Amino acid sequence: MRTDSENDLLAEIRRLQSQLDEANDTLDAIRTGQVDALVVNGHNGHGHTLFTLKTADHAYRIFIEQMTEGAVTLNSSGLIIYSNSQFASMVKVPLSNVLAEDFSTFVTDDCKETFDRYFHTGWKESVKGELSIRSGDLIVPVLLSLYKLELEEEVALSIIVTDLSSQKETERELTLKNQQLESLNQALINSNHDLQQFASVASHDLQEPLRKIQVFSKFLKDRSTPELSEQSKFYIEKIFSSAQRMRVLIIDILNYSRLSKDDDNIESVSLRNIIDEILEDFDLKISERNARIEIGDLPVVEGNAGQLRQVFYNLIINALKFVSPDRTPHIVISAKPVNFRELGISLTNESEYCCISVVDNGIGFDEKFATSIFNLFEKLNPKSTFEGSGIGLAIAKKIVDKHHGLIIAKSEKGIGSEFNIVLPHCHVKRNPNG
Amino acid sequence: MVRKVILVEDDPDDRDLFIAFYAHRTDIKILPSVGNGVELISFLESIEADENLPHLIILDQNMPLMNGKQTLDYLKSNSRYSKIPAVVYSTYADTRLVLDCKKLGAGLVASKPIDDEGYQKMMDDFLKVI
Amino acid sequence: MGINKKDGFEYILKLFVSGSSPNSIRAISNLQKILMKHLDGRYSLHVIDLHQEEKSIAGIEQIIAVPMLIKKFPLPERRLIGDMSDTQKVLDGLGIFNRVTDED
Repeated sequence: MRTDSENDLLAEIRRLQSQLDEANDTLDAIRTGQVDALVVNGHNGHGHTLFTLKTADHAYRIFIEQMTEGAVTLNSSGLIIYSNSQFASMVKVPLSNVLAEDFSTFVTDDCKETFDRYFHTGWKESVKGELSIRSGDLIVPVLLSLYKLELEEEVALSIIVTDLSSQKETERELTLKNQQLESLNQALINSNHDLQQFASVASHDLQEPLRKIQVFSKFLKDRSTPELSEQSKFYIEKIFSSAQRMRVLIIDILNYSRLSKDDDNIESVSLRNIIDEILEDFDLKISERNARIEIGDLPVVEGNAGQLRQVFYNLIINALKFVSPDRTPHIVISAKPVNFRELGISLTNESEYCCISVVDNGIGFDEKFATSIFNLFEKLNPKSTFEGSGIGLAIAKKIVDKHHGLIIAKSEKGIGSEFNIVLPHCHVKRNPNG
Repeated sequence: MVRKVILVEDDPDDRDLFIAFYAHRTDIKILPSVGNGVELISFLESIEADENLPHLIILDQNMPLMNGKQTLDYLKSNSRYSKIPAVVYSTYADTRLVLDCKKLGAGLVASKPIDDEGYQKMMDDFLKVI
Repeated sequence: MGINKKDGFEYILKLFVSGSSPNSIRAISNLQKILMKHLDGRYSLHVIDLHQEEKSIAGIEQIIAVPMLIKKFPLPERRLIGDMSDTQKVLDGLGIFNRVTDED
């Protein structure tokens, strides 16, 4: 029978033997190359580092550990033999519970079959595919990239796992925005269609009754001359001219509405040629009013010829209309440098812009109307003084806007007005006539 | 030579005006008007001899069933009728209408006049097309 | 006689490895095979990659070299070093007295 102290001794011996065995095991393992790394004490006994004997390239190891994608290595049974921390946080499982787990544990049930397919194919050729993994209570869409790895003594399968959540979110948003765009487009198409309908109504159905008024009132006046009093003829004239004014208005509105379309052809337009043509049309009016017109060198501009003609037509007709009764009209049309600072804008391609000014010495207007003057139907003078639908400047502005330019009005009441048109895509050309 | 002119117009007032303004002219004979392209075609079909076809067809643009442009298109695609000079007039002859009709082969496109002077000038211009 | 369990598992095991170094990944593969066959459902295994986990754990557990398997439970604590390729040695170390068959 052993004494207590003898039993204690025996237990102590067994413990020491065990420790010795373990120490010998460690030495044997090191000698037979079964150890990858040794734990080394840091300086002053603080911390530890791993001294790697069998390296898996240090730089690449850090790379894999640090990357923002999940990286796992699977053996031929689909067991995770290596994983980086990113994958562990992706699946919200501690790294120590990820290692030595089957990868398919982290795949959602409905994707397990897909994963099997990827896994089997991955051994023959690299595979890229999407599936879902479990992340705590959530499901995360991921992109798997599988690639065979040749290790020292066996092959393994490496998988890079990329979180597609934000991508999917962006895709969802894009689809939503696209749908919104679609319906907006459709609304626009419908609205355009309505506009077209309006245009055809405006060009015929609204004008035809007015034309009838004109024809028959003229009939009345011309064919009933002996029976009608001067007063009656005067009234009929009023009817006729009202109908005429309304037709002009409808045509103006029609032209304005047609500017909303975007199907104009762009070409190089010589502003000098356009102005020359317009002045030819106004030949009679110019000589009637004894107007003096000066034209400077004007650039060539990229734009729609018909519309640009309309702009200058409207400006020139105004200059010839709103003349001062006590002096001969003097109109100057010239190009001047664009004062970007005054406009309060800054552009990278400033040299491509030009400014054309139409200056007159007419009756002018109060500067406070400088912007409202371009409003639809805005008239600053009583109807009886000056004919017009009030739409000319609105059309001019709409056209200049379409050309991505600016139109600015300056004036002093009783002195005159200056209209400046800033346009892009200008080429200053020496005009042979200039 | 007296030219046979036919007006294709659905508006009864405009048909009356046409006759009123042109009744006195000796250079044209106004055939009975028809109301739209369909009626024009059946009228033309009823004429057996080619020399009895009209010398000038005046088409209003806004008509029901078959408008001016559509009628013009039909006429110019038909071997028998394509040679007959055809013109178009409308309350408001905008650039689009003028271009389209010219492309289809109209001799002239005019805006409907409002007085005697206008009507006579329009007919003179139309006759120049023959 | 009830089996003594900790956290619901009879065997609590910790395997310390060094990233994807050759012996480490072999240790994981081999160990898992052994455990599936002989201790299925009765063990909890944590694999700690010393490159990615807190290095202080190496000091706490007094790890000298990796790969190293520590059997925490059932007591006594036992340690095995190497790539776990010697199945009999692993079984003995874990205190599992099954015969190693040809299938292992």
